[in-house]
Amino acid sequence: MSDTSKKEFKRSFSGYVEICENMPTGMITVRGDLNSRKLKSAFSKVVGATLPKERKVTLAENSIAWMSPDELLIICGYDNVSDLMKKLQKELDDQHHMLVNVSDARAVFEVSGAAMVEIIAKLAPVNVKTLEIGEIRRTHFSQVAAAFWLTSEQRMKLICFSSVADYMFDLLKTSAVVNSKVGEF
Amino acid sequence: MSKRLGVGGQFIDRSKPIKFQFNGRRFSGFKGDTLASALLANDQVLIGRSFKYHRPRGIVSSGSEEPNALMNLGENETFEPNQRATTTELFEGLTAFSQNHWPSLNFDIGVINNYLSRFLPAGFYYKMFIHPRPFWKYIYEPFIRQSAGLGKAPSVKDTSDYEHFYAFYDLVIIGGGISGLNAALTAAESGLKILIMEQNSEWGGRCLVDFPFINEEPGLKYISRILSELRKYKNVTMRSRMMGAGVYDHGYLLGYERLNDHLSTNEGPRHRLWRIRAKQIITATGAIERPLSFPGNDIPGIMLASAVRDYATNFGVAVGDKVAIFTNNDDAYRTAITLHEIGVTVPVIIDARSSGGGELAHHAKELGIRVENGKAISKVFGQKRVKAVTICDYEKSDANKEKIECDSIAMSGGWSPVVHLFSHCGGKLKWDEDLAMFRPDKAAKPTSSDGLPFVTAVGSANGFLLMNEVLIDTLDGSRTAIRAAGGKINNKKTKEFLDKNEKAPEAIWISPKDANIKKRSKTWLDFQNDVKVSDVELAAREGFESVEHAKRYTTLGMATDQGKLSNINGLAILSSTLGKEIPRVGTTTFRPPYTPISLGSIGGSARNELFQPIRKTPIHEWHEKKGAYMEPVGQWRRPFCYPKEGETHQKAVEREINQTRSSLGLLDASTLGKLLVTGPDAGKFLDMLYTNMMSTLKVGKCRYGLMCSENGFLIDDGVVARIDEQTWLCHTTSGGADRIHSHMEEWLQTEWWDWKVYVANLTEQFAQIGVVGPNARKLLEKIGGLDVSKDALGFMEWKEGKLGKYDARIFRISFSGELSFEVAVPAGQGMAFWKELIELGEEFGVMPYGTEALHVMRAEKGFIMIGDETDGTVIPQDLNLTWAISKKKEDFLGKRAQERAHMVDPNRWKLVGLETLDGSVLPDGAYSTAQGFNSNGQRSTQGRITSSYYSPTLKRGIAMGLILNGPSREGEIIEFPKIDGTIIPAKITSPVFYDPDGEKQNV
Repeated sequence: MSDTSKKEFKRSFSGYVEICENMPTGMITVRGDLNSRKLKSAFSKVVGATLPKERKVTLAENSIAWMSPDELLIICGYDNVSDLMKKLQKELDDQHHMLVNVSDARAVFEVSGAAMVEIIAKLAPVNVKTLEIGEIRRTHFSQVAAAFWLTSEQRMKLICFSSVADYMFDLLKTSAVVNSKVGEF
Repeated sequence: MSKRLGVGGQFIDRSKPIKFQFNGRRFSGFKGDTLASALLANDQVLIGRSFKYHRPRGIVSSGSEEPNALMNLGENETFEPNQRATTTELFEGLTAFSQNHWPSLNFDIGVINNYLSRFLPAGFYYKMFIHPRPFWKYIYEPFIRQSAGLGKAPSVKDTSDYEHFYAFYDLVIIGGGISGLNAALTAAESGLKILIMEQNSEWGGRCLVDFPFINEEPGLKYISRILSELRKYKNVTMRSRMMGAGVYDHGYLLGYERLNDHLSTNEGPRHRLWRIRAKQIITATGAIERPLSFPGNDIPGIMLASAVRDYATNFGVAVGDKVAIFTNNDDAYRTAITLHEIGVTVPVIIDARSSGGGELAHHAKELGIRVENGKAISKVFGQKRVKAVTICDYEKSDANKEKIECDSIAMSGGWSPVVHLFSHCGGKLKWDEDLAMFRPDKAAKPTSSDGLPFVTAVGSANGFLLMNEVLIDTLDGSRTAIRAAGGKINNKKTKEFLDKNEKAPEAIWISPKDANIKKRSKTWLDFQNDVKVSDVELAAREGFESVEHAKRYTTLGMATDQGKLSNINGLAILSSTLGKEIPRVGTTTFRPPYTPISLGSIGGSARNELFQPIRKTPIHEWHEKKGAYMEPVGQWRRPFCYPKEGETHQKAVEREINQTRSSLGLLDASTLGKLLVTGPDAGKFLDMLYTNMMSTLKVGKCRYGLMCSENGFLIDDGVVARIDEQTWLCHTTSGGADRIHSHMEEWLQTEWWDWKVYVANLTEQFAQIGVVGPNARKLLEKIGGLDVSKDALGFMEWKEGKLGKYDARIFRISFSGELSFEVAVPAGQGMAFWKELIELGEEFGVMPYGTEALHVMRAEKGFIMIGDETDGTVIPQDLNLTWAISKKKEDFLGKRAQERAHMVDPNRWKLVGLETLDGSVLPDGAYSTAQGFNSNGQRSTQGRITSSYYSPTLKRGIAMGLILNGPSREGEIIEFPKIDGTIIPAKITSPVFYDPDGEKQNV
């Protein structure tokens, strides 16, 4: 734990896919009217990315994920959170909205490899065959809530509550042990 | 004897011998063998004992319908009981033990039941073990437990891995025989995503045995040609060793894949449970041959005719030297011909039909095999092995009797389509009089959410037994399913197949037709559960007319094979006894799974550390390192106490309380629910949710609040802090955070959808630490930063800013009665903050305290705890919390409910404190008795204990309880009987035992 600034990830595992838990990531929950012009312009001005369509993620330096019809998640550098929040707050001041820092409440995992989607299929009731890159799903991985999206054909990011990070890591690890490949995709 | 032949066996590889053990004896088989075929190859015909009478039993079938050949398989961590030898693939080092016998398979004491069978009729257990009642516990139950069950229970934990797999297809085909494979081929170019599964390791089903040629093409070649064609299609997934276990609503389907049961190694998952969603399902599950009911039909050496030819063709095994054949249909002649071809003597074919069979029968006769038409078996000689049979006229058991020597009998009572998967989700069956079978009703298929059919049975599973019909029906059924799944149809036709001219079977349910009671008592229907024709007849006579009742009374079809062989024969006997037609009696319900699946596969990866997710606070690791004794709180684990070496939990709790009350204690309160509520209507919203007023709370202040359900009952409590003009932070109980979050969202989304309020659950964003005790302020001042003096941060106020290097929000609230601060920092800073508090607190002797100390301290102060003082039936008024119920508010959730007659009843039990006269601790949950008895003859009660602890502060037992007219009875002594019969008298007091004026927390 001593010098975390130099580490690229918290922990990792190599099975028939690669798994790692990322270092803390900045996350801001935004709730508001996603159709309002003000919100859209605030986002393009402050966050520098367009609002995602339903069940999509705008992949950029500051990514924006669609979470529900009135909720977005900004995914950014851990240290950029308060700055972004301040600026957004200023833009949205006279509009009913909610902005909260949830960075510390979440754990972020990445799974990569040719058979990456198999790990999803082992744990979440999701039809991975129809998944597109940049599509987000809020679902459950085995017994805990999670959201994930594909960042490329062979890589996905997954977020869950930090209290169950150990469970999630063990879960992904168990599903990725060699000899357990399904060979379906 | 049964033996391996020099030639034949299309599944086995004779160059690869495999060693295995059965009952400690070494045997050898070949790669490709099943355990059953390898045992038969070694003349091991006796393989187990029956459940009730311990009769010797042999292998009956060659597949998943097997009732007898159940094994204790493996040893120690791979041990598993009740495994069917017929579906267990042989591997090097396999060990198997037969079941249900003592002391040995060959000599079994329990067989005495066989001779007592007259006294063990259907319903014996129900009749015998009812009276006298006192016998239940010490005599009947141990006896029943001793005799219950076939296999042994494993004694060591299973170390294999299991997993789930979610899969989605347009079309799933269950069964990889000729019908399933053709269905897949028909669908391959439809544009659909297709899965086809086969429960066995080999594709092809009965086709490989029964049809040496499919239109001039050898059967084996025909199947491998289709297989290689299917493999070309990327949209077709093929999985063997995968069974369709169950079909459920809306196209949900379970596939049970066995990955390494056939291997010596245990690497990777053993079983994988496929949780499939399918638009359309085709069941191409084939048919199962029925046994015939004749006296002594359970003696080892008597097998299904199809199984006899399976063992010959697939494994090169002859089940006997002289195999008699008993049939009511043409198909069994195939067995005679096969056996004749490999040089096994067929002394006689006994055909119950007086007019005999068709083309196949003619062929058998041409081969010189003796055929007896209109005949039946009336007796079987032999106990552990068939020695001979007596045949007679089918119609008349004493006419034309003749004893014929044989060491095996191949029987065939016709075929029953495997309708299980078609029926699981509501598919209806109809009785086919000509073929004597229940078959799927095309007009009553299982329907999905849209009301349209989603399961189609094809081929033999749909009741077609002739090859040409099978192919035509498969094409027809597949197209129906493809169309329903939205696929393209091609116009390919099937090539006509010229079937042999077969004569219709004749339904014979008991043989000989006039069998007397003695013979019917030796005629088995259900081999595994030892149910005989006479038992079903008895059940019918005793009034169990419904097939479901008769099943449960006799246990017919209730064994691990779920009556795959016995159901139809049993209900035919029932219907003839009742004088009703078979379709009027109907079948019992087909329920998933098709054959038993492992519990491990159902659990999947949810075992060991993954059994249940455990939520951990940012400081969890520290607690564990310090040896904290953890307790579950919701899915969290929280320290109950931190025992030192050699210290009991009780002593640890006392130490933690004494330290906290006298100096300084720390509590990890991170699990506390933290719900942020914001928006122009947030105040209005919270006024509706809480019983008291939250909209008037000033920014920077905190207020304790109660939350009730619509029915007025207390559901949660906690401290609310006003963050800014539009924002409140609501603390909930640890277990209530998610529930109350959902509660808020539900009201906002369904009732008050036009209110401008947003809620976020920030429970995990913060680590929250209680800094508690007279020295709490000193510790925070030592860290420095925020001013926490009495004037700067008064009681029930909060402040935020830098505390040392931490981003802190400090709430000056107290659940212990002491000077207390709850400090929230971002979760990522939690551990460092906690460690610094521990370090700097050393001069005050700082100690962490656990949930039990928290509970005791709050009870000393008379604070209620949701879940202790409340149980879903308690309203705030019961707890004297009327001060927290606003009278000014027009409405809040629970307000009207609390005005109901029952809620304002002055006789509701109310909260008081209780002090035992002798200082002892009252048992939690104990009731106080009152005079008299209630209408049930039970002693009347006048209240109960809701919390009870030893208070180290007061050095005596203290308790809270809900007591009839409690608050007005202060000083009165009431009695609490204990379970041991003694009585504890206790004095009613105020629930606030410690510092009633709140001087300690207000310094």
